[in-house]
Amino acid sequence: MGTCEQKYQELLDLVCVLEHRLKPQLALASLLLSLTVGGCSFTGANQATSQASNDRELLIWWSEGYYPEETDAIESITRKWEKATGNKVKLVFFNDGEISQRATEILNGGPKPDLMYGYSVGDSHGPTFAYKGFLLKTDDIIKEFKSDYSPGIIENITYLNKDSRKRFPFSVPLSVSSAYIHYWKDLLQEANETDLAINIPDTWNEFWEFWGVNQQKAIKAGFVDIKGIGLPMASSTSDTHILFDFFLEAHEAKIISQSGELLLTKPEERKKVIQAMENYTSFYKKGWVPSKATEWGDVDNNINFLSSLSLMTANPTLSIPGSQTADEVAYYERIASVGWPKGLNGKTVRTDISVKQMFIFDGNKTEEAKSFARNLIKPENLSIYVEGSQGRFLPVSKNILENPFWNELRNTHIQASRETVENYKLAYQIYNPAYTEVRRQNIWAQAIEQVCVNNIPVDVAVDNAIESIESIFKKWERS
Amino acid sequence: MNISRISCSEILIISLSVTGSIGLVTYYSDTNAVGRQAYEEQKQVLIERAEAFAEAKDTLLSSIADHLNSPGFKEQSIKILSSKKRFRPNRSNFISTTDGDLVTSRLFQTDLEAESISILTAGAIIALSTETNKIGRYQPVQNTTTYIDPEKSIDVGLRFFKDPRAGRPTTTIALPIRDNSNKRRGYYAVDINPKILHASMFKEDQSSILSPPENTYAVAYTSLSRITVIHNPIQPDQYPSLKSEGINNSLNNRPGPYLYLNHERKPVVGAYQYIPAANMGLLVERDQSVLFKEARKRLRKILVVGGLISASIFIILRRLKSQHSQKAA
Repeated sequence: MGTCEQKYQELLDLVCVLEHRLKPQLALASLLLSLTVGGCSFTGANQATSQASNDRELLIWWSEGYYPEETDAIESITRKWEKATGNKVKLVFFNDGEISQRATEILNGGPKPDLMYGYSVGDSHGPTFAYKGFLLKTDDIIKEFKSDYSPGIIENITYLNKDSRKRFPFSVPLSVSSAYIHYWKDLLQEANETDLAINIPDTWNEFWEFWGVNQQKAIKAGFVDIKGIGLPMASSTSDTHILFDFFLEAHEAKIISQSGELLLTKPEERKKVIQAMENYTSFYKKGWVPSKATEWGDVDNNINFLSSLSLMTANPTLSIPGSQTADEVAYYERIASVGWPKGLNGKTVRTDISVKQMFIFDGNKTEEAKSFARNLIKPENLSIYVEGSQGRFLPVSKNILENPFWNELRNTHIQASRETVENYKLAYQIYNPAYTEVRRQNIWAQAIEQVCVNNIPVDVAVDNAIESIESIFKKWERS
Repeated sequence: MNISRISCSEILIISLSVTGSIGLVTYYSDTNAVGRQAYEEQKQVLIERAEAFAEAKDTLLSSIADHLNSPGFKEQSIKILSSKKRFRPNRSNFISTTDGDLVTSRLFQTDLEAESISILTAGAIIALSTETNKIGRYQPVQNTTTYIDPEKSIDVGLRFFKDPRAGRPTTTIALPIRDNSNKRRGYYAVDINPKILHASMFKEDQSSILSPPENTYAVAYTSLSRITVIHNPIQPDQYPSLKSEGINNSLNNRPGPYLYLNHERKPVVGAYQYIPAANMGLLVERDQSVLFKEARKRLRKILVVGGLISASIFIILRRLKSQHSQKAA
């Protein structure tokens, strides 16, 4: 009897939710009801303010930096533009997680700004925004600087649009980064009881083994909490996907062809992916990676490394050394950056570059938004912004790269980042925008987390991931 | 009237349909009225809690900002930050000590319910802390951390993020320490357990004041892909990812219906709003199953009475028909 009552209750409640939701369909019923029971309102509750007004401020959503210098730089440029043009800007800062989820909400019909810049949004949402027609084309904004962009920049912002079936630049590139390897030079020397520089192996397996061996040496030297490798193993950070991509490349695993075809169904590619994931997760299983790496967010490998709790880490920007520019000893002497080791075939590992880009959404403030973008990419402003970010990202402009800031010989961080970015390949989402959904759902990171946390066999985790990716691609084709 | 031509089944169907329609119209009308009233009550509670939260946050930030200007703070903190000492976690065979001549209790605030208070170098490495094992650790001062520059404004929205070490959301507030030439020399950082701010919304620890009782959820983007409550008073170590129409609308500062399925897929009446003071959504929800109990009872009565009347009409008509056909025979 209790169950029947419960079912009856649930049914009625659901009817109630539905009947309040099916407004148009129930319009006639509403009229009849209003005649009989004195009127019922279907007006939505929980009112919020609207951004529709034309005389409002220009709304800009921006990723907040990891240190104040970055934020100060964009604020200063914005205030100057306001003063020069008389326009008003509402510059709203979000952290990584929030801006990424707000970008997803835009795809679901949520509120959108006039301009948006998010560190990982370009890679995870850009091609989808363009495909689904949310963005303005940017040819007219960037044409003046086209010849000045470094190789790969324009290709990385040229996205397919569903309606026109053509590719156009759909964003304004500001800076570029890849993932870099950093290590503590002094801790490594102390672990090895030497003052001499220690050579880091540049072949794949020897490179990773080196950090495992040195973890033991560091522990013996008294650094009992230290781990050799600070790689994330969590689905709560986009870093895991980005870094795993290097492992895929080192194992020559190909996910998508240049024509946008999914290659994962091929047994040889599946096998290489399994090998890459076995390799990546093996460090965690061996105890070379901090146990909390399965719960890390985007900033946590920075925290772990800069807290001297791992000898090395890899990070998708130069934010780790960038945060230490105020401490010359830490920046130049204690922390060093090196390029990625050669892949298993002995060749340089080519990598995705992540173009940090600004999107202009189709709306009623497009002229002001374009004017803002044009102003920001003027070399005098862009150099202030990228240098204000303390070299966290490289400039996209060849001319700006000539500035002394980017050419200091003792700066291993900038030198290593320039070399890495030069070995770029186009990101998979450029070939097929469906891959942005794979990034948004962090499919590879989920598989890695399952292997580390739930001890799921690697081949099972990879097969689950492949199944999810296939399902995303099929759904995308149908949409 | 030729009674033999009347179909009993048709009459029964019509009668039951009329009963059903009256029942549904009444139920809809009742739930609409009750739902609207419940929503208005919850909205009131929501406004009060949002104000209490914002007030607690403003008091907290003002107190921290004021402390930075307290006599001696700048001199002492800059003295620490001027040290050439390399701050990093010590080896196990070294004793972790702070500079002996500095009395931390005089430097740090004692009127805050903070988890820890620290002085950070310009590179955001903890140089001194109420939690000594944090010395040498890195603490970001922006993005996941709430950075407040009193020279600009202290009216900044708090940031919550899931701290893997604590296993729950937390909020860290960082303010720059500037020297006399206005150069940023380091930071003053305060870790606050969101529990404190969460509790500020409830008078005399009463988690609910309405009848039937309401549930209050303060939700925020606490990691790359997760929305969680900022504090879970029932299971303080459980922070599952939450999703509902109310949560989405509140975080996106978007209007929406007050009748929806909550994060547990239960139908609720919900009032919600975005709280810019903390970049979070606040929701006050009550189960429809409880609120609409009377409406369901009334519906049941209508259906039972209507059903009985329909059955009676059906039986009477059949008897009349049978008598009529006997007479005709």
